Amino acid sequence: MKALFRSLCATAILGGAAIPVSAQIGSPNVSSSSTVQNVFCEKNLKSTVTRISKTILPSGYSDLKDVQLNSDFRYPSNDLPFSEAMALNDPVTGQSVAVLDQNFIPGGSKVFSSWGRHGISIGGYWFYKTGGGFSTPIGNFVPFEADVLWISDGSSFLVIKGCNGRFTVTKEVAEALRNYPAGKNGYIRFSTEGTGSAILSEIGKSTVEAWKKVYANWTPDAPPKVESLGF
Amino acid sequence: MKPWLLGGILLLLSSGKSPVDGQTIRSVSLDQKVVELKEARSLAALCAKEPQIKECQLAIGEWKPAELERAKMEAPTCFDQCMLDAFGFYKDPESSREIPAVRTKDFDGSAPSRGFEVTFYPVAIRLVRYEGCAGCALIYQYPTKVTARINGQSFALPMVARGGYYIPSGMRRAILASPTSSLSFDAQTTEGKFQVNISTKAVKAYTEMLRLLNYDKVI
Repeated sequence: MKALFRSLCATAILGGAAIPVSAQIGSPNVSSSSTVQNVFCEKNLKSTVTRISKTILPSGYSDLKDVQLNSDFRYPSNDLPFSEAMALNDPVTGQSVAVLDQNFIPGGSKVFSSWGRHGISIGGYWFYKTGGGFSTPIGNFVPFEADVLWISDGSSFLVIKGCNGRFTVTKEVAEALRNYPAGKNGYIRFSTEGTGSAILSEIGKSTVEAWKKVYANWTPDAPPKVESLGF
Repeated sequence: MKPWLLGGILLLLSSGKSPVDGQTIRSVSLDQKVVELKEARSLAALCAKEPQIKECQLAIGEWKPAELERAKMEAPTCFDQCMLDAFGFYKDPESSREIPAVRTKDFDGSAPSRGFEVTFYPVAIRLVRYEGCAGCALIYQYPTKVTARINGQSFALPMVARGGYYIPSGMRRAILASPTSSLSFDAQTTEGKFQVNISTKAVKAYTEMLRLLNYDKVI
C-alpha cells in the first residue's frame, strides 16, 4: 500500500516538473485556446482545447543527466536521483530541468516535491497509526496534495496558490528560489487541500543548491541540432 | 598612367568574375570556422554565407542540392534510423529531411542496457552515454570532453552542442587514410572517464560516407 502511494506520488510530481503554464518563466507559447461543445457528453458540457508550444532547454545543461521520461504508469518505480538537477525530456510537454526532493520519517509520513523550471509539485502521504495495546495496530497512509505554498524570499516571503499539488513558477518565484541561501537546508511551508494548517518541511541543502541550476536566468533559445551542424 | 596598363586593369574589371569565382580569396578550412558554424546553426547555412570554406567548395551537402540528390542514389534511405554500423540517409519522419549518418553502439554484452551511442555525421558526431533498465526511465549523459584516438594520433574535439562534437579535418584525413584502424573516444562525463571503442565496420561506413560526399577531396 505504502509503495503504491509512493509510486503514485512520484509519478504525479514528476509529471508536474515539465507542465507548461502560460504565466510562467521560460514563456512557453500558448498559441490558441478554444471552447468547444463536447459531443460525447450527454449533458452537453463545453470542453476546452488549449495549444501550448513544447518547452525547450538552451545550451548550458550539458553536465546534467538527460532523463527520457519513457517509462509510463506500468513502471512506477522511477529510480531517479533526489536532490540532483536533471534535464527531463517529456514526450508530451517537452524539455525541462528539475530537481526532486523528499522529506520523510522512516516508515512514516513522506513529503515529495518536484522543483521544475516551469512548475512545482508537492504531494505525499501522511501515516496514521491506530490501535495498539491489546489490539493489533493498524497503519493508514493518507495521500495529500498541497494547494498553498510559502517560500522565504529575503526579508519577505511568497505565498503561492496552486491546486492538485501543482504550482506555477513565475519570475518572482524563480528569483526567490535561485537566490535562496546555499550551503544549508531550506524550509518551505505548505497547506494541503481541505486543511488550513501550514506544515513546515525541510528541503535538503543539495536541492537548494540545485535550484540555482534549475532557476538560472535564461530565456528559451533552442540550441543548434548536431545533425544540422554536422551536415 | 600608361594607356596599356589602364587597358589591362579595365579588362580585368570588365571580365565580370567575382573574387570567389576567380578563386582570388584564399579558401579556409572549416576547422577555422567552428565558432561561425555554431552561430550559423547549420553547415548548409554557413556554406551559403561563406562559400570560400574548403568543405563548402569541395564537399557535397544541402548547399549543392543537385549533387546531393545524385549521392543519395548510392546509399539507402531509412525513415528515422538506419541499421547500426551502416551508412545511410536518415529520413526525418516529420520534416522528410534526409541526413547522412552512421550510428554505432559500444556496450558490454553482459549489460546491454548501458553503453554509448555514437552517431557520425560528415563533420560532427553525437556521443551519448545511455543507461536504462526494464521499466525505468532511459537516462542519457553527455560527455563534457571528448578526445579521439586513431593510429597513435589524438584529436581534442570541440564541443558544438549538447553531446555534439566537431570532427576536425585532421581526424577525417586520418580516418580516410586508414579506414580499418581502430578508433576510440575518451569521453569525460560527470561520472568519470570512459573509453568508447568504435567498431571497424562503423569506421569503414563513416569512410564510405566521407568519400561519397567528396570529403576525401578536402585536403
